[in-house]
Amino acid sequence: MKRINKMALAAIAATALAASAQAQYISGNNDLLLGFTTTASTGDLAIDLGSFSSLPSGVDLNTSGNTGFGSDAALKTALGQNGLSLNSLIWGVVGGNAGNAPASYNIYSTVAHGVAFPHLPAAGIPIAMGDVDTLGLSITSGRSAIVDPTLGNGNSVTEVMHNAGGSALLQTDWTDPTTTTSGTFSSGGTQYAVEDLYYQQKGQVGGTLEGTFTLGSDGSFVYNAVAVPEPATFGLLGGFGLLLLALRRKLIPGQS
Amino acid sequence: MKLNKLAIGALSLGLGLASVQANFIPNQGTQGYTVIHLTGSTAFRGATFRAVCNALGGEAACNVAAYNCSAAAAVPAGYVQEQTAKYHGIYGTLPGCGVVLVKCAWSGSEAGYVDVCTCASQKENFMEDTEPLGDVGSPIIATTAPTLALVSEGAGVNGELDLAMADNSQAYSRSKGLGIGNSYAVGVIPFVYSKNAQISGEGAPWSEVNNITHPQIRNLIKSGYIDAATLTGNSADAGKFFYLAGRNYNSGTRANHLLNAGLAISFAERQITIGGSDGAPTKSATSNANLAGQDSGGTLANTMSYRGSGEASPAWWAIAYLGVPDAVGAQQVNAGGGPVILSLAGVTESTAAIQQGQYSYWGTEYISVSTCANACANTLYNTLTANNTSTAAFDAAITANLEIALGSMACTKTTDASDPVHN
Repeated sequence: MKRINKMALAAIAATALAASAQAQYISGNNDLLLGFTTTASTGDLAIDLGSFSSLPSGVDLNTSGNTGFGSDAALKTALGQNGLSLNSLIWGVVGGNAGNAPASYNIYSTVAHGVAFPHLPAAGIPIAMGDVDTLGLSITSGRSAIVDPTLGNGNSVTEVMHNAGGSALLQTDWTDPTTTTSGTFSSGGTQYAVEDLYYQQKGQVGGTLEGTFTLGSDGSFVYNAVAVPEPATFGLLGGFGLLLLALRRKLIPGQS
Repeated sequence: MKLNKLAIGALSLGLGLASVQANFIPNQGTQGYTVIHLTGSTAFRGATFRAVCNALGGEAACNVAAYNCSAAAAVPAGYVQEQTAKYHGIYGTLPGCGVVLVKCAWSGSEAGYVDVCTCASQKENFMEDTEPLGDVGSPIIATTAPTLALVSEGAGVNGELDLAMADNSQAYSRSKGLGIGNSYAVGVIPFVYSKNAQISGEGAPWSEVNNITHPQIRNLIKSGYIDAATLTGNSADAGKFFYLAGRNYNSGTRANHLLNAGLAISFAERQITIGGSDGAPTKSATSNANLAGQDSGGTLANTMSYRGSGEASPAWWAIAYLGVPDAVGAQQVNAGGGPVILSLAGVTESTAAIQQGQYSYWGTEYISVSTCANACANTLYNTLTANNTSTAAFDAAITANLEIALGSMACTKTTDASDPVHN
């Protein structure tokens, strides 16, 4: 048990190191972008979480190094410094890869938890990825960027992901990837807001649910991948099924 | 008699050397002079060169060198070859200042704003002072590059980045909000969209594409390509692609292209770079990196002259945005006719169409002076703008059909991002 704990810690440390080693947004790398804004923001915060394939599941992405803030408190402080509050906070995650289009391409986007994924037409993914890359390239150093949307530079979270008028690039070209926390999100005990992360690639009808992002009012930010049954689990389930079938035959008259 | 013959021979030899060499190298020890560094817009460089020469008494009164010029056959009607150069050296007398050497390095409008807004630290390549100029009235005109040196010696030193031309205002540049000495609108620069040249008899979909609309342009910008059927309306063209070929983020042509499409200049435009040669063009993968795309409008126009992409396997075609002098020049020099200019939203580019607000892809040209410019650079700025009161100096330097005098416009764009409206 002690050995397993040490190995787990080492794995988490290695993940954090790999995450923090990456600098700046890489177009065509399936990097995921976390965006924060509010209706009256003058300092939108965009964070490059790194590539989807390197995203650890079930781990706080602050302490893993993926947000670049190191701790939940540091993320909360950063939001506060930019005039953002956890209350009525607009947030969402987008990413993908259009670097090989038109041969192949894909996109990731959050939607409100439990809401159906809005399918994109075939040529819509590279167009939406142009919008995503515009947000990503606003991060010119490190893992995050603060952009004042009132300056009208066109690459803030407000201008790319969500604004009240519905004229953000992604709102116009596809869908709004964000949700908004409640006005009392940070009051009382710790509360959590959840969004679902979907994936869609060229030729795919609808999206694939990949997992969920959970934002805590304590500043925590966790990704949980959709559980995929292990081969051993399949064996157990299969055995359980056979057992049920045998019991059914015993219990129903005329079958033996 | 023998002496006379020798003298005549020596004189003839001297004249022969002069006509071949025609060199003049500025020498501070012999004649003190002030260096002025001018950079920025490649699309408007032809008019700017002429305006600066005029401010120094006319080109015939100056020692001039022009490097990286277009081939003589590629010079648009109304231009002289030296107006197509990437690097200029212009040595003459500026009233109110004295002898000056105006060095020009045309790096693009956005690069020009970065240069003058961060003049204390920014560096740019210019011709070295020791690079030969032509004798008065005999400019050196070369298609090759001069010897270059980075210039940045800080404010108040004879070597700072002084002046820049731009096809867009500072408010719509990536240097928005940074310190600048002064800025003044002096002209209008037209741009066009074009498709790449193909062999004679090239069929659909290339032959069917003669116009482009703003939604199609946005599609190209965001994806880097567009399905041919979206351009032609013909289902048989589906699955065939036109790619966007363009400039890097230092370009004012690109800035106006994005603004005209209703997008911010920060948009991560995706595009290809055309390589190879005429008859065997190649295309890069699409990229939206800031420095992806051509550094020069002339190079982009030339690559759009490479025929054969429609015969490649798989076939592909390209659409590019160009300054008019570069597009026209490339059409003149290339056997296949060069890039084919498209109409925009059904309107063919012309001076009249721009003046009346019918055609929207154009930019307002600005001259800007940096906060660390020397006194002579400020004198040149004030001469060219009549102390921010007149465009007369540039009006006199404009070539019909290639640039447009600001005072002749019957329409206005309220901002660089606005649609033109009639006055």
